[in-house]
Amino acid sequence: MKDFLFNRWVLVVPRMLIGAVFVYAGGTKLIDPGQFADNIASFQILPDSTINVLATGLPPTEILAGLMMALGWRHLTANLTVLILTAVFAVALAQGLARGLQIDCGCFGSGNPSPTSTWISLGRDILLFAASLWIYLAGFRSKKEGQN
Amino acid sequence: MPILEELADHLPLVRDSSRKKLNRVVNFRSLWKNVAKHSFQTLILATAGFGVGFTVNQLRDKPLPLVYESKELRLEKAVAHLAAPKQQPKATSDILLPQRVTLEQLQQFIKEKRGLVFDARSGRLYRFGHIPGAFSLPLADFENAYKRYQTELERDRAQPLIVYCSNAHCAYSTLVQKSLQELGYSNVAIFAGGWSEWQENGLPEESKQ
Repeated sequence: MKDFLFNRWVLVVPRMLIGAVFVYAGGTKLIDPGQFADNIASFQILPDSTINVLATGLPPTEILAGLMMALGWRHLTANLTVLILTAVFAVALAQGLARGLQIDCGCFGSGNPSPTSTWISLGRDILLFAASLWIYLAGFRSKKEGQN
Repeated sequence: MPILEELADHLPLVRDSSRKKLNRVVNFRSLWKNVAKHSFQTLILATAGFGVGFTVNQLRDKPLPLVYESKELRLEKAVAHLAAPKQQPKATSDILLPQRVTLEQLQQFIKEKRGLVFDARSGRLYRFGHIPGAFSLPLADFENAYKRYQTELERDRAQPLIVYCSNAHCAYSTLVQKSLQELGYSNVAIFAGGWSEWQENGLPEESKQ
């Protein structure tokens, strides 16, 4: 089973899928950075001086990381970027849910802010994190005994 | 191959230890060694991403300012730019709307063409789908959007107007209602159920792609 799960060809599909998801997510935010800035503000964790900086810089970073993952160019670096981003998003969403905030996560552009949609976003984010972690760890697969 | 990695490959395997079992699958020595390298490359990737982001922002028609301004503050500024009348309008319409209207009231309102309906969501969401006959008055671009309907609106500041956004949780319709009231419109109501309730009831939609 582990041979299958860590097979480099098996990993190509999820890697490309995660890459595509990040390219799409970055693209929707890049179209409307003002909306994305409002979404970041709804989390109520960052000072106003940093919100627009993130709203302008984060979407191209997501697109770059997504493209690198999908195309397989320095994909482990892109994979680590995706891991860091999904971990940060999960913490931000969880704190919003814990504080009972009306968050529009803005993960894929603007949506309908509601507690249900925030739980769905958190679940999706954790799934992306787990899949990225699996791909990242698979990049460091131990060699079998007797293998050079 | 570096000596450390070679050593790790030849370490004896202890079957009853889960950590060792995991070590048989993932080469953690190699992983920790590369995490630092990948972190540094991630930093370069993020720098490139932010660089592209700032360049793209500067090329936009309306670049985002360096410091964020809340929706409420932006709306206040937009309203301040648009001249509000000093006198309250006299009621010229026989329809006096409550602060909030239900789906049935909205349907009746549209059917009998009693006044104007405004969509306070972003222009992009409006284009994807909106209530038939509704006009786009997005909170994010309130000043410019308002100017498009200014002549029609200012003919009668007591005319009935209904504003909606995504659903009962969104604040856009309340903010736009407040701004319209500050601009002198006395007969503005909210359809709280918004686009979600309209869609859930399978009512006709209009889109502009």
